[in-house]
Amino acid sequence: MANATESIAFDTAARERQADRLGMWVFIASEALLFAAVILAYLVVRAHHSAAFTAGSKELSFPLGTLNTAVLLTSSLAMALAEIRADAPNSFRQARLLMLAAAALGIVFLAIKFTEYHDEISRGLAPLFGWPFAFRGPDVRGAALFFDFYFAMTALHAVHLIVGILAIAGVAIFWGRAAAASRRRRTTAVALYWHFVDVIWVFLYPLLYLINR
Amino acid sequence: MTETRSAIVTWVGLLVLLAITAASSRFDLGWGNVTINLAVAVAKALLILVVFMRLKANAIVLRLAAAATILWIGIMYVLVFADYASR
Repeated sequence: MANATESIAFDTAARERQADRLGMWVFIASEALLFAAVILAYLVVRAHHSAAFTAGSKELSFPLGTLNTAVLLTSSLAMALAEIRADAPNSFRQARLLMLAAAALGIVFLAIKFTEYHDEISRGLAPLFGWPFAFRGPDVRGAALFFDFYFAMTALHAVHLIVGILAIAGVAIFWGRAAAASRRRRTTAVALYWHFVDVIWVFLYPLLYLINR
Repeated sequence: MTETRSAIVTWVGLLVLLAITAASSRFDLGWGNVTINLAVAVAKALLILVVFMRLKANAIVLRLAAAATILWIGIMYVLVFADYASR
């Protein structure tokens, strides 16, 4: 049974898994283009409002942003270990627990992120929905653009994280009913997506939190 | 076990890189800050792609898919910045 494939299109199970991975990579490529376009727009606007973006960045919480990066990197480790355990014989229980740990860390990330949002909104730094923008500086319009991008980019990332958490929950719920091969395929698919969302944050963190000039 | 080990070593490396970029941002290094931030972000992304997303362990077709993504994004960035730089 080790060599059984789900589709008749493939000779071997290994070949089929490779195709699964390629399918995920094509999906990830389309997601990468979405984020790359938003980041490109951010860079162009930042080039025009350099000082305002620096001033805006200094209003964000450096400790919380750094902590959140560490949380997300650790959740990726949990997910990587989950995939390793899922591929090994007789360690499905550990694989499922590690995957749930990754999702739990994702929820911690969101909790910290929403704490930041709450703080920024209460300080009048969210130029959204017609709310008053309380930022004071030489280039208020540029700073408003910085916060527009900050909320758009981090919210787009948060939506992806929420989808990832739901996907993990789905895999975990149907774990008991799935055959060994299905568990492995699903773990791999969810893991690739989860790591990709981590890669996006790796770029958002310095772009938004670490502007010095 | 070796796979587990390399995943944990990668995670430690990622946290060290995070510490480098976070600590360096506390000092005003001019363009040095931008360079360090960019270099660290690329290094972290490569570690995640190669180890966690298993590009190293899998068939070359997956590496091609990843490289193609970076190539297309690169074309978009080069064209836009060439436009802005030459105005």
